[in-house]
Amino acid sequence: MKTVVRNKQWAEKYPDLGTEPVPTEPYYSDEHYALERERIFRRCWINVGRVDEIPEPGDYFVREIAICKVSVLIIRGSDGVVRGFHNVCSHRGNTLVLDERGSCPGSVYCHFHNWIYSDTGELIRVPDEENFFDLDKRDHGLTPVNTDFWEGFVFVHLEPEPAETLRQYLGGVADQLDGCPFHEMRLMQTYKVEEQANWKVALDAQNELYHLPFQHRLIVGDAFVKNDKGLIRFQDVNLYNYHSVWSCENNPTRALPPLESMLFDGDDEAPVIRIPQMIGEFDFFVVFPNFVLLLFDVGNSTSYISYNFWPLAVDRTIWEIRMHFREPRSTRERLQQEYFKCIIRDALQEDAFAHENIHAGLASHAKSHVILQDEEAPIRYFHKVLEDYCEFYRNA
Amino acid sequence: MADAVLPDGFEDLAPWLGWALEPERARTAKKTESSMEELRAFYDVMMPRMEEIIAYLDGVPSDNRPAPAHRLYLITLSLVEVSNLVEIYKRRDVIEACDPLHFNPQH
Repeated sequence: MKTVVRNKQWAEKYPDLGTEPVPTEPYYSDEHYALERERIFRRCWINVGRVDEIPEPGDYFVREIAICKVSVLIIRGSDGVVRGFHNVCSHRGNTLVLDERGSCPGSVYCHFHNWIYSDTGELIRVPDEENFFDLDKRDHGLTPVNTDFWEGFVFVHLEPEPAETLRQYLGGVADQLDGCPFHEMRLMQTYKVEEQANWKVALDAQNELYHLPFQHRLIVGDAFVKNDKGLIRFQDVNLYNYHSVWSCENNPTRALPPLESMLFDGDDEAPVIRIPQMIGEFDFFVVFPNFVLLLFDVGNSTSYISYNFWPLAVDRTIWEIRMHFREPRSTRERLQQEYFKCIIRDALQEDAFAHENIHAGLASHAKSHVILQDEEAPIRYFHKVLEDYCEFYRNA
Repeated sequence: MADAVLPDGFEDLAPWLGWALEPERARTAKKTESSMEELRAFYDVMMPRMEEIIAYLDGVPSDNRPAPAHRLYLITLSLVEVSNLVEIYKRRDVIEACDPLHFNPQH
């Protein structure tokens, strides 16, 4: 076992992180939400999806970054290149593509006056063009959005000149996970969970395991290594520039429920495909501000889940959960994946229930601060980065 | 038999064809509408057959299952869907969770 079940080890590893209570106002304040719009979601690289979602020329998806009132069109052009544009027609500002995803090989047209754009963003046809005044179509292509890629993940940046490249921004997360075969894992299911909770309530609630033996005591409370008091200890915590990861080890003595035992203890000829980039057996990367990559093994293969927490309002969030597994090589492996999907989903349904109750408590203003223990250090770090960007208290 | 509902050897599972549902949301909906007694009865019939079902389905191309094999596969996914309720929670009134259908699966 690699886990050291010692108390207060993360405060020792990161003494600058502090131990003070964390203020609650950022969870419910309209002013803080406005700062998040301008200083975080407009100034950070935001994950919007994966290139695998749009494999063919003309394939596209649209991502609403609601907090910024921005709709981004990610489209693979006839030249094979994936580009990002504001999803807005150059003529009168109509929203261009209305479907969340689809394919429009060759061109995209506006439903208002049928202005037509190539799938690489140039304006190529304007009905009644001769009746406009000095219209040069070359000047009126779609407005690009800074778009960059890492290991197949598509990120956008809403500022015209990002201060850092995506690679610089991802920093230690990219260093750790470079070469991870995300492209070999297929999207099996996406859940979109709308919650009456601040996006940080939902993210913070996922960003620790202290709650597991309590809130999830029946379903996954025994999943990971614990100390002699039955409390989970991380194997490791790493804080990067803006981002973080915590890792833990599976509990080797967990009693398996009958179906899990039947599916996982039976003969399995599937080859072992585990990735060397993992730190523990369950690695939870938070890519600031709203993206999570969660790596874990199912049977013989590494799988991953991604979360995107999309703020709709200060008290409304879409928690988007995407579960990815290897192409199964047997019926048993397919059922192992189904089993994991269901058990994680059912645990997350307990979380979704809790998020709304937590938000209600915080929004009541009853408590000025929340109190964090050492195993909640990743939450503390997230709020430190949040304040570094927002300067809500620094300028107060 | 060309118009068999389930593959040979699995005809006795015909009373459970109501679980041959897709997509995931349909299986979740049937789970939430079923009583614990109904779920246990389904589980108790299916569990002893799982090794046999897995062996059978491994002999059928997974990307082109004939309709009877596909129905058997979907019933098996339903068993996975209900297993947490039967094996872990055992009762509905211990669960503090959102409505399962609120998760809104997209596939």
